[in-house]
Amino acid sequence: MNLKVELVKRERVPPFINLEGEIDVYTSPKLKEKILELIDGGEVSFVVNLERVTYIDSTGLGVLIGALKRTREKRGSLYLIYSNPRLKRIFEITGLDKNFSIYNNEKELLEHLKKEGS
Amino acid sequence: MSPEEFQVVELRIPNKPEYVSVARLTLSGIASRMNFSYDEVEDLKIAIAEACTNAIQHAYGEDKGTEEEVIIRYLINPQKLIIEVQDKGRGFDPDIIGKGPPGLDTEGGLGIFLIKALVDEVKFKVNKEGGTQVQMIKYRKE
Repeated sequence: MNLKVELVKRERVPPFINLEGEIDVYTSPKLKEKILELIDGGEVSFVVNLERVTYIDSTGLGVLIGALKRTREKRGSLYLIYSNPRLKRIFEITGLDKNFSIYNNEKELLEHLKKEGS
Repeated sequence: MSPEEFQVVELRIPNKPEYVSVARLTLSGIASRMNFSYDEVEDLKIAIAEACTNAIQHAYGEDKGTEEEVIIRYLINPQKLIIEVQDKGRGFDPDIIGKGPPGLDTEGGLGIFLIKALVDEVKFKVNKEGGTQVQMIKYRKE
């Protein structure tokens, strides 16, 4: 039961926080820490990649809601990537799918960013 | 077994975030053995984690990490699974939280909202001597 948090920075795309594992009351502080590190470092937009996340509950959603508010305050964007039906279900039940910018995979997001940038 | 007879599994976990996954794993074993579907088991895992998280974060508050424990009872019979999560903390008023629809401004009540959405029945009992019990019921489909 753990959560791997990996930060990937590339040119011309917002930083990616790639996650793998379960996000719960024990592991969500690790995600929060990484997000705060990015925001404190001056990033206004970033991606949280949940493609390899198998479990999320209100503690993880709370961290993402906090991150969304912070990016909005700075007129930035938070992008989420997931396609797992379990994650879809939880975002839909809570209605949060309407608040976040959600992409099925990295390719879809990168295409969107390309269009936005051009 | 009559509808009101149960086989009981009891789990006591320390009042620490790292043990919530143990409650989830135990639930997963019990609910799978009862032939709940994959999605039902996954829903129940979230419900029990929310109840345990609530017990640890809110009920104990600043006393987080003290020697108090969270007691989880799994009551099993052919009709249903009852999960009880009991803490000895300061208690909370379940009527206040989780009522409104969740959204960006109600993140505090999200856990209770999820419990209500993911199980068939949920009851909150506040003990006179302190502590709260959350009882969640999931019925087996025929």
